[in-house]
Amino acid sequence: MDTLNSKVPAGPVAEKWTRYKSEQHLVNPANKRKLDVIVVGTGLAGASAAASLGALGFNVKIFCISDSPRRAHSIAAQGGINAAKNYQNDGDSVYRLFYDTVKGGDYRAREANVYRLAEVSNAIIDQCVAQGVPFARDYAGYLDNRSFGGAQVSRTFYARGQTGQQLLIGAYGALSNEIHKGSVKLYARREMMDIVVKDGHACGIVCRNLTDGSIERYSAHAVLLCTGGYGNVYFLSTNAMNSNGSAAWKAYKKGACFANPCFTQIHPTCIPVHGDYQSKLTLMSESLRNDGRIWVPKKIEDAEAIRAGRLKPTDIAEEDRDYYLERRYPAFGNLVPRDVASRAAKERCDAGYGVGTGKAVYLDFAEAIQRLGRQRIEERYGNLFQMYQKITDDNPYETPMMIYPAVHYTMGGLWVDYELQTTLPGLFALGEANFSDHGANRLGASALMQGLSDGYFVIPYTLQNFLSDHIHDGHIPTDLPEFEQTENAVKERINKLFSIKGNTSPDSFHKQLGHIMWEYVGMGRTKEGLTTAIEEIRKLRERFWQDVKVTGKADEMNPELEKALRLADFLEMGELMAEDALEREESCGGHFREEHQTPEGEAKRDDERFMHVAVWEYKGEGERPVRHQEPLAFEAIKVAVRNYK
Amino acid sequence: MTNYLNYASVTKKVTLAIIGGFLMIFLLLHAGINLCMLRNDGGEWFRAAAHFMGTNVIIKVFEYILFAAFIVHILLAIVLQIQNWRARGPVGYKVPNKSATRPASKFMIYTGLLVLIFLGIHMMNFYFVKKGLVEGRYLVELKDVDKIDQAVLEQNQMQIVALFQDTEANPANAYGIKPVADNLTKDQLALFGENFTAYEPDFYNMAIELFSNTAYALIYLVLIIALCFHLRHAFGSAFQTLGWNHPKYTPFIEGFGLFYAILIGLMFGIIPVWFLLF
Amino acid sequence: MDFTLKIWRQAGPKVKGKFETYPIKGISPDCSFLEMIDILNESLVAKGVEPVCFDHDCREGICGMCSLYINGHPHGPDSQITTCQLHMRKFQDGDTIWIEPWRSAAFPVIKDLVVDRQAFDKIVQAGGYISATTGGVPDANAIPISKKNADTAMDAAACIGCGACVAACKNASAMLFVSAKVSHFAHLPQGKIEAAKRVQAMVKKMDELGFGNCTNTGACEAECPKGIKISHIAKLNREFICAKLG
Repeated sequence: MDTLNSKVPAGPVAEKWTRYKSEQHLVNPANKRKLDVIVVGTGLAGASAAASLGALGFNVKIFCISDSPRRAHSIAAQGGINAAKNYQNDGDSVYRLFYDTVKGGDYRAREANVYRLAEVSNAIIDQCVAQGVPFARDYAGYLDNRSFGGAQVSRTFYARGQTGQQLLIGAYGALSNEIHKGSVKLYARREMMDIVVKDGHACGIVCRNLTDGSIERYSAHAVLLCTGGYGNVYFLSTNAMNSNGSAAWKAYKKGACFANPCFTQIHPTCIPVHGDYQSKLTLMSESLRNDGRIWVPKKIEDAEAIRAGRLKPTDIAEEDRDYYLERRYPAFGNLVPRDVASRAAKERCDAGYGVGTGKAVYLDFAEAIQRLGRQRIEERYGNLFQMYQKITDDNPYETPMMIYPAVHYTMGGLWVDYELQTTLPGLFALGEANFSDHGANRLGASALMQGLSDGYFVIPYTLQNFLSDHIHDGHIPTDLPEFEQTENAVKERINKLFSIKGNTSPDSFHKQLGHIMWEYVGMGRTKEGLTTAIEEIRKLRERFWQDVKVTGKADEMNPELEKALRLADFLEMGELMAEDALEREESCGGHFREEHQTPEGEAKRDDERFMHVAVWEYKGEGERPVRHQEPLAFEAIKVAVRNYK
Repeated sequence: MTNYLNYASVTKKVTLAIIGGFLMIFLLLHAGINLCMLRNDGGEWFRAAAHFMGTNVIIKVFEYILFAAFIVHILLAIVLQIQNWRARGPVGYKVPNKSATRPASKFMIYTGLLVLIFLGIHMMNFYFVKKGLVEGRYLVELKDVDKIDQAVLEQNQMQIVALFQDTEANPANAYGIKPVADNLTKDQLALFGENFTAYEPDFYNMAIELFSNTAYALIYLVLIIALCFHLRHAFGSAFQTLGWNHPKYTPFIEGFGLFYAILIGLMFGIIPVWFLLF
Repeated sequence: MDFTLKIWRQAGPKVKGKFETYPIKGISPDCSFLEMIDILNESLVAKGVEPVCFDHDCREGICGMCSLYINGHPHGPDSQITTCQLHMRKFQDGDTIWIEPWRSAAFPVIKDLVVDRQAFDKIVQAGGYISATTGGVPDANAIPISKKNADTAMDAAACIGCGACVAACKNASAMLFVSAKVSHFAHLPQGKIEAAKRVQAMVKKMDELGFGNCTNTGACEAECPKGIKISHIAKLNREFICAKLG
């Protein structure tokens, strides 16, 4: 690989995007019709990109793993979407949103990308309102906001506790409009199996029709991966069951570098694990921290009594409660960023103050209910409270919620330049699938912002700059030898999985992988732990290829095969994550190396050695990948120690 | 009909609802007239009402509209129902649906069909008599006697007078002559001659005779209950289909629908009950 | 807890299906319904039997993917939840549980309990959106929208497109789904511009796809995991009538 070129335009950070747009190449309408674009994934990034590109006149094919684009996991985002509208007159600005995001990401994001994100954030809200997204409004009929972690302003727009759903339905509507007009063609229940590369360019994909198992080929002048994150490597996460990292991983193996794989966000407010059979963790929106207060008992004997069922949380007197976030971080209190809140919860539980199974803390609304009345709380969080009650059988209006951190988001992903292009020419990555905007920790309500920014307002410009060089390429046939080879490799891999005929189901391997990852590559990481993790993952991977049992056939709907295929990739990805975590000998954001902390237990960055993006290049089966660096320079922001005290 | 099938589902339903509303008004009117039967006046009010209904020009025009309404309502309901059965797909549920719904709403086609059977019987018993298709009972008013053919009158004078003879001693009626000769059979009517047309069907006596039959009264009652169930859902449902749903007014409409269904049931049902008891 | 499961098995779209009986033992009451099926599937895989296919994804009640008809109820006996949010504590120890796929001509079975719900997408594609393309829109606060209307629009927009309304309806009618979309936009000023065209196009597509006709039984409302009210169906009817008359 040549040197990494991030293609960041010159000039002051606030003018870069404007400058880029005025200098970039465009494709004229007649030529747009001759250009094919493949979009993999129909979440916020994918749906908005496909809709916008379709509206511009490109021939778009969009691939969806579920039966409908509306099911993509963006739908599960609850709390809201940030924008620098400053409707509340509380001092917000594009710069402040940019600043908060960079700071929240612990100075490990690319400044120019983040500034652009903040810059287009306002247009996203306008676009969504035009599409009919029913954001919450005040009595005058204007948009309402709430505050989220890591910010001192109220800049989060929301639609009850279903913001992600509403934004996705907006994008899905725009997409449906384009499908209706014929500019976008939808392929549902398809899973991308591999990327086809010709002369060093991505020129198509091979995918599996999940309904009947057939392998299909599609060609295009550019391929956009909008396939989300890889949090399911941990088995238990807040990700949906079908969310997987395979598309990104295939891209990695075909030459797209993977950036910061170890940056994983552990979300502080999830419903705690309650049994071995558990398949998934449920997130309770961060917005709850606006009004909920997090605490554990001050006395260890109280915590023990609660765990043994002798005491109820309501029995603990006010002075015997330790509101540890308010105690440790008086400036931000319960609204510290996610990584900080998660680590603080883990610290208390590890010290023996946990409640429930010992791996839980309280999120208490008693004070807020007293202050605002039950009705206001119900208006703000009704559906979340209902969801909590249905799952746990506890009524959060009467007894505090129990929460614990869980894997939620992956800041790492395919390395992309300013144009969102990966190191494999013609292959772009959008949304959570890329690494670009959140550094080492993502702030709440920023994922939706990034997905839509990439899809609505970035890729429609930058993709044209790329495609303007391809207007003479003509339609790419799918009977090229490159397609043939890729399809054969896919079929071979499937056959290989069936031929093992072992005794262990994919799920039980996945659970074992999840245990290793959570234990050693979770909230607190050490050199020994990570070394152990790498060894254990390798062993597990070996056993997987000897003992996995895949029932059914290849040419039918077969969820077991799907699981096995995805798991095979997770088993490789987990190792790279551990590898990356091991190499990054500092603590930053969600990446906490226990060797690197301040005396108070806060993350300790090492800007001297690690103010860079770790960019991993695949070198072949069994070969050690190469770690490149993209240095990070901050011109518009003063790098400082993150302080939420 | 093929063309009509292509109308949007909502168009069909709205038509069904509008017609339903019209039929509901008609039912109220009909029930009101029926109730006159219970007045102990030897059928005077009932006859007056029946006479009005049978002769008024506007009502006669409405009669055709009513028929058309019934036919369209029934045909539409059947078309919609067939589409609904087909929409369920080739395989049904093993466990029948247990969703909480209004019981009446689930059986509209069945209660509707029962009402249709009732309508058939009803037509046989009454309407076809009026049309001369079925033999029934008739009445002739005294004032119309002079419309009898002179020759016939001379020939059958005694028998005709006998028909107007008030058999029940009535001190107020010095001559013992009734204003109406009622409950006439086809044979008795023949006495008035072939060209005599000033007679009317005697719905009052026909009804009394039918209701005096316990089996008929019971069947009538059952079918009226089916009608009640049909109306119970129909009333609110028509408003819903016409788009009238409002948190403030819908509870009232629903309540009124129940009241209406019970009212219609009572108005129609009380007559056979009366005859069963007395 | 122990249960007897009666599950619909069907190898493919054109194959005849039948119920299979699977006893399952030692299930925790805190286990979710889908986790219970996961456990069953693990045991089937161990025996070399093909596990039961069922749709599921987010497992937190928002994606609308899970779609089981359990003991006569879409999404099972609890109210206002999806199948993935149903927990075994809602059943009695020793219960027999019948699990069927959604049944509707417009939702053909693909395999076992998985049905094809792309008909919903087709209805949306017919007009279930505001056709604003990216860019060139006014400031978000340019048009104030009354809180009441915004709230009602949100009530309707909460639909997750799971199809429980169709599954519950004796007529397999999609009116609740379609009306939720129509009502959502009809309550917003930016949605009113295309309202007449939208409602007619969506109803036409719905009819074409073989969904049944609404007879206002209210079964959809009773089973909707998001509590969407049939008042939205009335709103659709109103919109439709106005569109036809206008």
